[in-house]
Amino acid sequence: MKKIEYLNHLKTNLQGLPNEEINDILSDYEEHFQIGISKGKTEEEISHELGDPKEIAAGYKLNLKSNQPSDESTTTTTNDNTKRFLVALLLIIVNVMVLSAPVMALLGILVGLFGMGIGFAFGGLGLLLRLPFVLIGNSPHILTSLGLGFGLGALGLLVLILGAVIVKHLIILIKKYVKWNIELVNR
Amino acid sequence: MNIQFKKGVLELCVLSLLDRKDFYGYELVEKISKFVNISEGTIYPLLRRFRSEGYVTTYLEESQEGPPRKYYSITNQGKEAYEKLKLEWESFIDGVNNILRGELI
Repeated sequence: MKKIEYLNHLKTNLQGLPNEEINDILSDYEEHFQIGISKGKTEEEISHELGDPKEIAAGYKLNLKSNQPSDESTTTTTNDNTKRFLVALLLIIVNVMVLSAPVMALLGILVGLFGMGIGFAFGGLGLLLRLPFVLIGNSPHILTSLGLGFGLGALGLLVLILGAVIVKHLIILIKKYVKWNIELVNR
Repeated sequence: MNIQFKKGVLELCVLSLLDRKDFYGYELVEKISKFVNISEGTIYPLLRRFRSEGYVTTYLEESQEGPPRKYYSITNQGKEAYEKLKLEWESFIDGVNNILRGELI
């Protein structure tokens, strides 16, 4: 296609836009042809490289119809979803592989702690309950039994309280961690 | 290649070049079509839209050969749009590449 022919085609397909704008658009292509020719290209070559004037005109008319249709928002959401999926997957793997061992260990320690607390407390209680028999037997170890009973009982209670405090803080920590995970995925 | 996809990529290419220096239309078309297979005529509608959106401004400058040329210059608004598009593009490409290469971690 010759330059004149190409520009005429373009002009025909641009009908519907303001005349001023059509002339402005045509001048852009005129400039393009001019420079191309000065660089040694033929008018036919340039027309071919520019592409179908009908499609180009459609591009200008699309500009006019609300600057951009919804296609851009859909690309970003698919993009976000891909990212979200990858982050979630990564988190699951980290949580299972890296965190499970220390969490299990901590759980074991806590169970041990509670066992110890309960053991001490009942041990102390048992010693105190034995007291009447000790008195009857007139044993010289009354004070020892009394002290040991109270001491053991108190120690048991202390350990149990310590365990409860640790559990409380652990729950807060876990809540925070889960929240952070969710935020990371939704970001 | 999908037209909508190509259009988005073309926007990114044009903004990227203009972010470095001012170009006249022909030069811009030449640079891009050297690397990407496009219908060269589609760049001009894009440039016009960029101008109406305030991403670029234009001015005429004399050339040694022939009539003055229309130069395109990126605005601050255009630079912001470019940075945003670039980030979107990079994270998109990362995501796609992860899937293509089967690296799901």
